Amino acid sequence: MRPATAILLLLFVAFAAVAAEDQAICAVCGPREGAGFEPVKAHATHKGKSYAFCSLKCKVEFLKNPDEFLVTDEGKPAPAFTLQTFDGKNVSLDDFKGQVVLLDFWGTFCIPCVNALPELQALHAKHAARGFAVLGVTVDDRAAMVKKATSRAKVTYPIVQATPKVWSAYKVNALPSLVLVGRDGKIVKRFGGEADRKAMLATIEQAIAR
Amino acid sequence: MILLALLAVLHSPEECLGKGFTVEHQGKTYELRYADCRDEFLTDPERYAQLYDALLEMQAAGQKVEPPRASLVPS
Repeated sequence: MRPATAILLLLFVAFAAVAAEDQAICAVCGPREGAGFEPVKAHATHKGKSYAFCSLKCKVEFLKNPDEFLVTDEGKPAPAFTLQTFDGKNVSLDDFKGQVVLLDFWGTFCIPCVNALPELQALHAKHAARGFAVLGVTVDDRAAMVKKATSRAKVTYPIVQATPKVWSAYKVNALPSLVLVGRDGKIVKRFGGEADRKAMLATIEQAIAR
Repeated sequence: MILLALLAVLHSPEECLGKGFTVEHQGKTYELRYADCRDEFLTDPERYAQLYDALLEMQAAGQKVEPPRASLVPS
């Protein structure tokens, strides 16, 4: 292979990798329509958090009234769901009845999400005996990538595959999105990528103690 | 009373694009057609700067930038 051809091939592979990674749930279409991953055409920052959009039109719509898309469903019942693990096992929110559950909406293309896996595993292991569990809800359908990331972080808590219906019901408009569900099945608090870890840990501790 | 209520309605960001008033944010000047657009911009410059940047980008790309049409028919 000629050097020029090799360089072109490398550039193509690099471009394809970047292009493939630049996909996200649109902060407008995701919560509104349950739209899946779409190529990112625009970004916006609001109150320290970054949002991705499938079009400039969606970015404009979001910035006109961000509150419309930023839900405050704390205290409301967590939407019920039954999702499958990559091994085909069904996992329902009902399976965790009476427990405090931290739903971690994540994807392998989201670096902060992957970086948080060991910490979430540690949290799961530390409080499991007190009726606390982490449930990983991946919006990623690449089983091999998910297994690789979770194996590396030695994750033992269940990882299920999200469906558009579920991430729409939970109004997931950015990753990572963490939703803490209390023993009563109600949403206690949401945490995003910028979440203060200390505050999150304190909230989890309070929810477990209840 | 109705007239007063109508007068109090703010212009949409799409209607605000145009010359008349200027506002600066992080070294960039934004031209806005109406005073209420400028005042609204100043309430949350970070958000509105991004919003107007997006609208200008849409315009530059030849996309239609028009205010949403009012409709009594639910979508």
